[in-house]
Amino acid sequence: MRIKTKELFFVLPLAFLLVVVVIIPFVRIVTGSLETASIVGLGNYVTAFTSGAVLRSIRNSLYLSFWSSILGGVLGFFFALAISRTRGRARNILITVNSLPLTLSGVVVAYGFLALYGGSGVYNGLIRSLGAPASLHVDIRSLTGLVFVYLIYQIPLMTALVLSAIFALDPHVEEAARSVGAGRIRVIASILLPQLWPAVLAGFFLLFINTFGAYATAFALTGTGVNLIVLRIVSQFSDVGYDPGVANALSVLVVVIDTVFVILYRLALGRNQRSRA
Amino acid sequence: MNNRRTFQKLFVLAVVLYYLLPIAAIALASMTTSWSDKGLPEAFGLSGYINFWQTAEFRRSLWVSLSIAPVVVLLTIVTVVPAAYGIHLSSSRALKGAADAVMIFPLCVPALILAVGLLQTYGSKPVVLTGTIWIIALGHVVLASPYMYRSVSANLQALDTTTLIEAARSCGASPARSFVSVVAPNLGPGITSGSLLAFTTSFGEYQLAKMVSGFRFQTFPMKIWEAARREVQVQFAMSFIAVAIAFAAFLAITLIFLKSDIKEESVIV
Repeated sequence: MRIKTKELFFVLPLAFLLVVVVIIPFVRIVTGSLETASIVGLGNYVTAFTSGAVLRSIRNSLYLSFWSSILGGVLGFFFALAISRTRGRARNILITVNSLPLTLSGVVVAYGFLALYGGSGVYNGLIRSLGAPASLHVDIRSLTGLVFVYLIYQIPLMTALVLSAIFALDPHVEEAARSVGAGRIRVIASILLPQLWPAVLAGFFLLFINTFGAYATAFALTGTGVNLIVLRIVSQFSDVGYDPGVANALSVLVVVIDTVFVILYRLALGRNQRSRA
Repeated sequence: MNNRRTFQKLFVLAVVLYYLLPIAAIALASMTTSWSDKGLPEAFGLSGYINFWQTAEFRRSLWVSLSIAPVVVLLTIVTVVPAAYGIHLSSSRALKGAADAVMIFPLCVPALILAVGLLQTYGSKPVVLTGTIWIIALGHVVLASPYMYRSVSANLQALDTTTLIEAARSCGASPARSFVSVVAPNLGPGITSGSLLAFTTSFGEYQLAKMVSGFRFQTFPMKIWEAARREVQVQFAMSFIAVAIAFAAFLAITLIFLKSDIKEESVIV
């Protein structure tokens, strides 16, 4: 009904912005990753993939994203289920509370967890003053600590995704199942999960993307105490370990891994929900 | 049955506490003036907030962030709203697919990598933008664009755009004109909520701003990080101010959604 060029005209400003701010800089990263001193080649990638410390940082980053996405995904799924079973005002309050962490600055989140669970934070202070065993002390500035902290982004994201999928379901199916005597676990296993699993799977991939390139919280919380790929990229742009070629190569790696997960995310979302970016 | 209910309530309570306790800890720490040697609060006061306000560089960082954020909001509206409209109108699968791919870019390139690219592209001639607020703002626009896009397309889907456009066109309006004077005024809730999300995104963003600002501009989150090294109490006071501003923007979004037909959870994710 409409000529294509007119629609293109509306998309032009955004396309221009993305070319200037995303595509040109990314091309610069790719070309930078191929420059070693004076030669052009894959030297930076060889340097990166033969360094034990770099390989460990990749493994740590994958570990952090994977486990925070799995745990956040499972907890978020059940949290969404619990919210959907709540009625009236309480439900609206829970939905609001659930979105709150998503608006917080990464730096602020890091300092909140430090104040609470840091070495001299409230939790460890209480443990000391109560004379509780030292095994109850927590070290938030560790890889496991980071998994725990990242859940504050992962749980609400999965909850919101699953919740919108639940609201799109036909409630009559569940009512029918209950009326013929299906128990709660049976309802979850044979009615809710088969309908919700595309959303849950898509959610897992989105959660993974959400944390793999995240920097602010990890940096504010641990400095460079935990060896993560993002922290390594930044330190290679500073004076001490200056090596922009390798940093560019690692940046390309992050984008490639994120892109793989974005494709998986889109596939899991399916065609009927394609309008959601 | 009762056990299950109790279990569910305990689970919900645990998640809510997990969300809110760090924020409560920030509030507590921002008002604690002295800590016992066991690490528990001993004396309370507002000197953290007073010190923040009396230190020019801290106060200035708040203004820097509060002036970048509106620029980001404006640029996001100008670029994303027409795009969402064009994509909404389009019946061509190719354009929709391309637009889909375009909207996904910001997901594939995290803020840090964006900053790494911007730093190397616009840090030297011919185009030098590092050290200006513009480069921070442009980066933030990309980070905020998916939120604006989802808000506005959710709003568009709730509208009867076909009738609106036909009415405008039959009165002789051009496509651009019918968008600006007929469709856009109906996008109030979507644009406002998208703007507030863009605002909080920009206001709290740390990694990109730190890399491309070239030390000439220190945003609020950058100063929070710096305060952490110097005055712990000021650090927590500033953290709590950041929470309060994000929370205020967020409450406004919630109120807008309650009054409109748009589903909040369809915008957040």
